[in-house]
This record gives sequence, C-alpha cells and structure tokens, in this order.
Amino acid sequence: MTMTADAASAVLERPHRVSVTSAATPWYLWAVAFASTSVIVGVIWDISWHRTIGRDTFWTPAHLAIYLGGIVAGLSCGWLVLATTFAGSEADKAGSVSFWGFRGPLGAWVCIWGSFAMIMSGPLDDWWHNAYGLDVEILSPPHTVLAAGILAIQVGAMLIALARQNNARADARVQQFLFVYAGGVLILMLATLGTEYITFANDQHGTPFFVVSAFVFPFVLVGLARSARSRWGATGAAASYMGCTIAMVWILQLFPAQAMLAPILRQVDHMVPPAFPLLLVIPALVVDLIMHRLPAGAGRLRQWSAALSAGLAAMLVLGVVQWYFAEFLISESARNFVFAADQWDYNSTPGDWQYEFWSPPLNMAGAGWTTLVAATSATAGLWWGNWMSRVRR
Amino acid sequence: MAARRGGPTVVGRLARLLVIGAIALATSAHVGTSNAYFEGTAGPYGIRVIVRTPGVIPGLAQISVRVTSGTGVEQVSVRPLRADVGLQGAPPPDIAQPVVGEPNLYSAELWLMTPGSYSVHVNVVGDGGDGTAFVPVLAIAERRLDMPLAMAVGLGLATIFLFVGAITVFGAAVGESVLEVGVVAGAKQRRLARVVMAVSALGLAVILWGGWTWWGAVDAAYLDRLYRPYSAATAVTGSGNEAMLTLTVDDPAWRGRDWTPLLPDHGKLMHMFLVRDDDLSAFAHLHPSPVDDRSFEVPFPTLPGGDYRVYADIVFESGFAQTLTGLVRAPAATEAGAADAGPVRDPDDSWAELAPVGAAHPDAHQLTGGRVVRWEREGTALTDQETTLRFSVTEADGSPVTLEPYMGMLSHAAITRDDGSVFVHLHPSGSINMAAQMRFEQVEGGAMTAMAEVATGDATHRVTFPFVFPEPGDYRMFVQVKVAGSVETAVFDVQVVDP
Repeated sequence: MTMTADAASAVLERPHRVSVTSAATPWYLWAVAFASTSVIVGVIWDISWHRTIGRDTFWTPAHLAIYLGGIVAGLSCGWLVLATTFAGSEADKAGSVSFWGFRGPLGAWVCIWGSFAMIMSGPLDDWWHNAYGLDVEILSPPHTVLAAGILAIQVGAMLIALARQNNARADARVQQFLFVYAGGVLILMLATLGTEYITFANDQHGTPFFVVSAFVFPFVLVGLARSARSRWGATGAAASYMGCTIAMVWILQLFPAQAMLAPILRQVDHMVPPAFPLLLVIPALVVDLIMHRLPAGAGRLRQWSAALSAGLAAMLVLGVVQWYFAEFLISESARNFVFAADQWDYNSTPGDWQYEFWSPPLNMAGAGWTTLVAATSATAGLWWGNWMSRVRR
Repeated sequence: MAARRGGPTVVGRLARLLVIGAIALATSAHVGTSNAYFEGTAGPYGIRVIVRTPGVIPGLAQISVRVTSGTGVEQVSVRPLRADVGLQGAPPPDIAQPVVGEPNLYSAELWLMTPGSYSVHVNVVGDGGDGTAFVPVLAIAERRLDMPLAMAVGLGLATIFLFVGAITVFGAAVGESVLEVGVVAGAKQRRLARVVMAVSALGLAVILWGGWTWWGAVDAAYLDRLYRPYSAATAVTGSGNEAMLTLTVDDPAWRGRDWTPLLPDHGKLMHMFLVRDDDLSAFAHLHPSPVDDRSFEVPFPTLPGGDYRVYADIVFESGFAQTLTGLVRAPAATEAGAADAGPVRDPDDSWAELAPVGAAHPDAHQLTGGRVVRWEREGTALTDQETTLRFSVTEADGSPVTLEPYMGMLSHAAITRDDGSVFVHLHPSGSINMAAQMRFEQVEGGAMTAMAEVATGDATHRVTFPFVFPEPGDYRMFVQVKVAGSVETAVFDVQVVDP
C-alpha cells in the first residue's frame, strides 16, 4: 500500500490535526456538516410538529435537534480556534485568520457567531411568547435572530469545506462534496424561511413566488457554480436540497401523531410533512452548464454576462417547469404518500381552497420585476462566488 | 344617610372615567380579573375549579380542581372546548396531576390558542362513577409583560457582541481569508478590509434599526388588540321618580343585538351594578331592559345623588361574557312620591345605602328586624390565594334565618376594590357566568350542573363563595340575601395583602 505525499505529511504532523493543505477531511468538517444538517432537520421537524401536534415544550426531539446542531457547531469550532491559537503549529496559524487576538479558519468564526446568535435568541423568544403569545407565523423578531444564527452555521460549514477544497493540492473530492452539500443545506434553510411565498404549489403561479425565487435562487446557484471545484456545484446543491426535503416528506408521514391543541378543525393521524420541494435541479443544471463554459481567465464583463444569462435562464426554466409541476401537485394524482399534496395542518379548515391557486397568475409587471430581481441576484451571486473561489483560510 | 359632599370637578370626573376606562382597556369581563372560579358538581362529586387565564393568547391557562365531596376519585382530566367546535374539535383529555401535600387537589395546564369563548370540560372518574362539568373561560389578551431589566441589559450586551463580531468577520473575509496560506496582508488588503468593515457596520446598523422598528410595530399592534369590552355611554335623565338610567353601547364594533345576540341570564339580558364612586356608600343591583338594539334603560333607584360607577354584565350567545363599565352622575334624590306615582321597576331590582367604606363593622352587618349577617373569616386575606368567603344569617337571638332564593340563588355578592379597578359579581357557584355554562351544557349534551348549595347540602342560612383576590388593597364586599320577602345588602370591608 503506498501513501501519497499528502497523506504522509498528514500522518507526520500532529495526529489529531490535519494540515491545511491536505486533501484529508478533518473531524471538525464532519462535525459542522452534521451540525448544519441537524439544525435544518430540527427546524423542518419542528414546523411539522406545530402543524400536527401543536403543543410543544422546550425539550421536544425537534428542538433538541436544533440545539444539538448549534452546540456541536459552537463547541467544535470553539475547540478549533483555541487549539489553533494556543497549540497550533506555524503552518496552522498561517492557514487561519485573526479574530480579536485569536486565530482560526474564517468558517469557524462564522459558526461560533451563529452559535451565539442561536443561544441569544432563546431567552428573547421565551419572553416574546410570554409577552405577545405563541407565534402564529414563522418569522418573528426572535425567530429572525435564530434564523440568522442558523444561516451563519450553514455558511460557516460551507466556508470550512471551501477553504480545504481551495487549498488542497490534490483533488479533494470529499471536501468538494461537503461544500456542495453544505450549499444545498443553505438552500433548504432559505427555502424554509420563504415558506409563505414559495413552498406551497397553490402559490407557484403568482408573482410573489417568482419574485422571491428570483431573489434567492440565482444568487445561490450562480455563487455555487462559480466557486465549486466540481462541475456540478449548483446541481449538486439543488439535489441535496431536494433529497433532504423528500426524505423528510416521506419519513415524517411514517410517524403516527395526533393534535393536542384546540380547536381541531381536521383530524390528523400522522405527522404533517412539508410540501414537495421545487424541481430546482433543472434550473441548477442550466446554471452549471452556462457557468462552466467560462474559460479560466475570463474578464469581468464576460463573467458578468455569463452570470446574467445563467440567472435569467434559471428563472425562466424554473418558472416553466414549476408552473406545470404545480398544476400536477394540485391535481388528484398528487394526493398520495409520494407527493403528500393532501396533507394539511390540524387547524386549517377543510375546503376547496386547498386545491386552488391562491394568487392571481404572473402578469407582465410581475415578469418585469422577476427579471430585474433575478439579474441583481445573479450579479450578487457572481460577486459572492468569485470571493468564495479565493477563500483560503 | 351620609351628608352629600361636594361632587368631584368635571376634570376629576373625567379622570376617574379615564381610570376606569383605562383599567377596562387592560382587563376584562368582571373588571380586574378574568380568572374563572366555579363551585358546583360534576356528577356525584362536588368540585371547585379555578382557571387562571394567561393574559396572552395563545397562552397557557392554569387549572386547579379541588374535589370537595365524593370519594374514591381515580382520575381528573380536563379538555379545552372552543365555543364553535366544542368537544368535536377538542384534543384528547389532559390528566390533571394530584398536588403533593394537598388532598383532593389536582392541577393541569391547557393551551388557549385563539381569542374567544372557551369552556374547560372537567371530567372526574372514581368509585361514584363519572361526572363532568363545564367551566366557561374567556380567552383574551389582557396584558403585556414588561421585560426585566437584567434581561434587557443582557440582550443589549449580546447585541453589541454580535454586532462587533459580525463586522470583524466581514473584515477577515475580505482581508485575511483570501490570502494564500502563509502570505501576510498588504496595505491595500488591510485598507479594503477596513472599508468593508465600515460599510458592513452601516448595513448592520440599518438592519438593527429595522429590527427595532419591527418590534415596535408588533408591540403597538398587540396593545391595539388587547381585549377591551365595548364602550358604553351612561346617563341619568329626569329626577325623583322619573329618574331613568340609560346605557347605550356606542362602540362601533357593536353591530346591534341582532348581530350579536345576548343570552338571558336568569331571565335578564343585563345585570347592572351601581357603586357610589367616592365612598362606596350606596349599592344597586338592577336589571335594565332593552330599548333598541344598543340601548338599555332602568329606573334609577332612590339613592343619594352623586357619581356612581356602573358595571353591566352581559353574555353573548357564544358564551362570551363582558362587563361594560361607566360612570354616571345621578341627581339629588327628592323625597319619594306617593307609591303609585313610582316608575315600573323590575321586581328583582334591589339597592341599599350603607356605611361609607372603612366605616363598616368588620364582620357583622345588621339587617332589618335585628337580623345579622356574619362573615366567618379565615384569617388575613392574601392576594392570589384560593379562599372561601363564608357568610351566615341569623335572627337577633342567634337562630338561623331561612334564606329565600333571589333570582335562583341563595345569595349574590359583588366584590370591588376601593378604586374600582376590580369588580367581580359572584354567586355561590363562583364567578363564572351561569348562562354561558348552561349554553355549553346544552350544546355538548352534558348533565346540568347543580347549584353548589344543593350539592354541598349546607344549611340554608349559610352561603359560601369561592374567590381569589387578584391584587392587594382595600376591598368592599356587598352580600345580598333575601329574607322575609325583601332583598337586603350587607357590606364588609377587607384589606388584602401580599403573602
């Protein structure tokens, strides 16, 4: 069995720390990838819990998954920065950024920030419920602080994987995969935050769906396509988003549950799953194909025109594909276990409204706004992707 | 009769009205507390139920059930019923946990998720069989919590920490993190990092300001939605035997009785109480009749002139009970005219002039004919403690008096804080609205809940009221009983202190 030079150097350095330039995957990267996943699984689970059972406590499994993610991210990155600062080799320190006198990878600082924000939102959220009552919407000020913390942990995980992907002398497949996967988890979180506008098929013919999608997706897809070493950065992330969502749609339905709060307007006997995901892999594929035609040294204008084409093409493709898919989801054929189109909250009144479109369809003005927002989003995504492709620490 | 002092000025009166109105803004039916107390039966068991409402909706109500008679209780459970969906739309029962150290006391918590008329369905199972009772509860947002100083400071510090941390991250992101491993940042790099940090500081400051504004908007919307009863205008017109008290609901949200039908409670659409404003030296229990879809009128009783606090209890078809409040000035009473010149009054209307607040005997009140109402005190009255107010009525020689039913009850009581911020109308079955309770029983098909006095089998010269004083302060209790064909009112003053 032969060892590559990298593997050898990894072994020769302190056995519990992996060189910044090694293609090997350090334990803390797995830890933050796990944390990032645990948090979003917890959030989706918690939403399902509130739609099914209604009543919860501080210690429900869904909440524990969220806290676990925050704690694992915070502790593992905390350990990492302390180890780098106080016990790190020169090579370690040279591969980290400075922060208030301490040293550690940028992604670690972002994760620590996120962990603090999540912790801070707890007491604020508790007071908020005692003062104003339990939330009936996802986004309240304390939940926004929590969301910022969660997003930070997800971005931090991406950055930790990214630095290793960018530094590795050899082709670091695992790191590339983890970067793309972490990007997919970020998409999942953003889609969850945008639930009120983009999640339900009944909303997907309307202008808000298009405008909100144009705000979020070109930015993330172009950014990932630009910075992933893999050819399929955007597609991989979109596939992670779809895969995680579908897994939760199917797994949640397997668990029996009943509503524990009045008024019960509809009998539920298992956990209400989230809606079927958007068919995001198709626009993501278009983005990857366009962005990877860019030659390595392409000038700014060339990059920008590629990004704009990618963003606009993605929105066009998403709009068309999702238009017809939404009609399918509203139809009788989707009311089954696979597509879960007939699963509604315990406190939503049964009626015809469930299978109708809730907003007027996209009009010319809406299309205009969508184009404008998509172009801006793609431009920002290009800027973000270019920065990410330079991240080394 | 106390000599009439100079009345308060217009400003003073307005201020008083504002105080009552402001308190009504922050409180609910039965002014000052929306907690529900019920004493009665659940099948073969005697129970006393206290529901402490959370003050925010959705919020958690605390329920305590004390089994006062009946043996072999195995389980007590509770379910929340919203008026429009009832038992059908109620979750499975919550088992109430026995309270350690207190025999026969069980406690549970239930979420009240939407504002409106609810009832707590209490079920007791044991050797004697199964018994249920419905305790009507109002789910309303009544108060807004203040943030404790320590928490505010902590959050402020945490915000600063996160703000500075975020700016540092942005600086590092464009500064050091894009440098190749081992390269040191140059001047240009450092300048760019500082520019980015400045811009991001500005951006974050805007975001924080936006968040602060958002919080303010949520707070304002919540305060706006706080429960308040309909506003009503009260006035006394005419004088002497012609004096009429009119109450008009002038709230734009009231769309007339046809839209929001009222339930009669013991045959009366409205039970109105008057308490003399400055010294609580006069009390009336009246039953106005409707004039049109928003006005009620009743002949003003022969009481001294002056300002009177008005509390009018009504119940809607959903079981939702409200107390409308107001302040009315009555003209000086002229000598009563000949009996047949008097107005037509509801035979159940009653009123009395009494010793001013603070001047009443602490635990015995003389009625006509030498009869005495005694308050059997149980020690110092404490805030927020479950208590039983026990009164007995005896002849001058100590022999028990047989009380006659007054609108179906052996007694009615009204408890008010001297400043008017608390007013609760009580029956021996508690503070719950009996019409609301009957409505739930009829709709859900439960057995009629018997009155406490029949269930407990007390001698009929003694009445008890379950109560919890919500706030410390000076209170006056008006206790009405019917003896020898006429309704008489006794008063007792009590000081309530924090435990």
